[in-house]
Amino acid sequence: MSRHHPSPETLMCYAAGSLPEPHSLVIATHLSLCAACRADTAEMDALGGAMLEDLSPTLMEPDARDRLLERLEEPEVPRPAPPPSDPVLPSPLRAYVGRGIDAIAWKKLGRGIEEFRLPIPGGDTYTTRLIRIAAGRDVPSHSHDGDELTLVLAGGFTDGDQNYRRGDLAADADPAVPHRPVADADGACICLIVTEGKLRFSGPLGPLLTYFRG
Amino acid sequence: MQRLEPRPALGARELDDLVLKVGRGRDREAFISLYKHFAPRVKAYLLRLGADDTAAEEATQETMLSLWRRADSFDPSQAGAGTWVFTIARNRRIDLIRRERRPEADESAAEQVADPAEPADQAIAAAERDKRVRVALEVLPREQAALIEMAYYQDLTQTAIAAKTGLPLGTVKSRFRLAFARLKRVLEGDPS
Repeated sequence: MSRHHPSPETLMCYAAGSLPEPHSLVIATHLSLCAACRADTAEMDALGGAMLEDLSPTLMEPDARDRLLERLEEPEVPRPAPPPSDPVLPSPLRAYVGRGIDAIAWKKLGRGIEEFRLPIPGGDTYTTRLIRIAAGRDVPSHSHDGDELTLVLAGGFTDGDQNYRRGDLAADADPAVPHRPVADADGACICLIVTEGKLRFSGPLGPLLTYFRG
Repeated sequence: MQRLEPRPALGARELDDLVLKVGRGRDREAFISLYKHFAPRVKAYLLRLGADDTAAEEATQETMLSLWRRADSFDPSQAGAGTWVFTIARNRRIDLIRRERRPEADESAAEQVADPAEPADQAIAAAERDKRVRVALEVLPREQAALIEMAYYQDLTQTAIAAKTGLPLGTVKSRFRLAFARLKRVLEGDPS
């Protein structure tokens, strides 16, 4: 059984805290489903810890410690309760979607494809969406201006000679090479997709184009 | 930027014990020792990442406050104190300085879809892992260490690193992979 994981460099940027928020969400969601990558990430966190120890200490303001000691018993702003569990959306993703998978108001794009855009701020560069593709349907052949990360949440799809199922992450090797993902026949395929820049459709342009370009 | 003389650093075990004391007994003396050790390092980390002095100072205070409040969740079998504080500082920086959220994995998720050929339970003890990571950092070839520094200290993604260094993205990716492969070898007990 083939499994598809984030590259070490992507995991390392997640651990370093340098990934943009939409990509961090994709990785956190994958990690919720993949113990092997969680173990790798723990090692990369340890790398950050070792580097922190090696830094030359810098002086704090002289009264900083006393000011903080006075704040220790301040009441804490309660943290949001963890979202209820969901059969399709792991909890970091469920928190962003703000509702369960059954309560999502999907927007029909035609050709058996629906989308739900996630409200992630700063979305000028990246578009973050859930896509639901009906069993057996395809996304018309397209390429990208920038990278695209696709994480399968339900069902599966085949792209070229690779098959992707729940928890698998597909990252474009070369965004300029057109691809045409096809949903597996065993049910609707739901994916979390982060796209950088615009999609470029290489085949006859369907009604999808206007939506995807948005 | 003013620097302190390196003081005799507390060992990893001592730091773990201090965090446990804060977690179990709200021990203010233990917290003060942790503050002396970590606050100047966290501030240095934030300055390295380009924060100005005021922002670095404030995010350091918030990091230390989180340490105080979350110490009861510290588990030295998962990660040593230094690693744990790094993750807090990293997340507070994303919150307070980058003004973004930091999505975290749900570690409790029962469902796992990992390839059974890659069992996660080969993970070595946290203390041993921290020690070996330190060794790995020392033996890493210069050009690989430089990339890791850019990811951890300059808030650069691989694409941004490629743009900044003028290296092809493929070269950046392959150096990251080599660095990680080296880290893995050292973690598995082969320092060569």
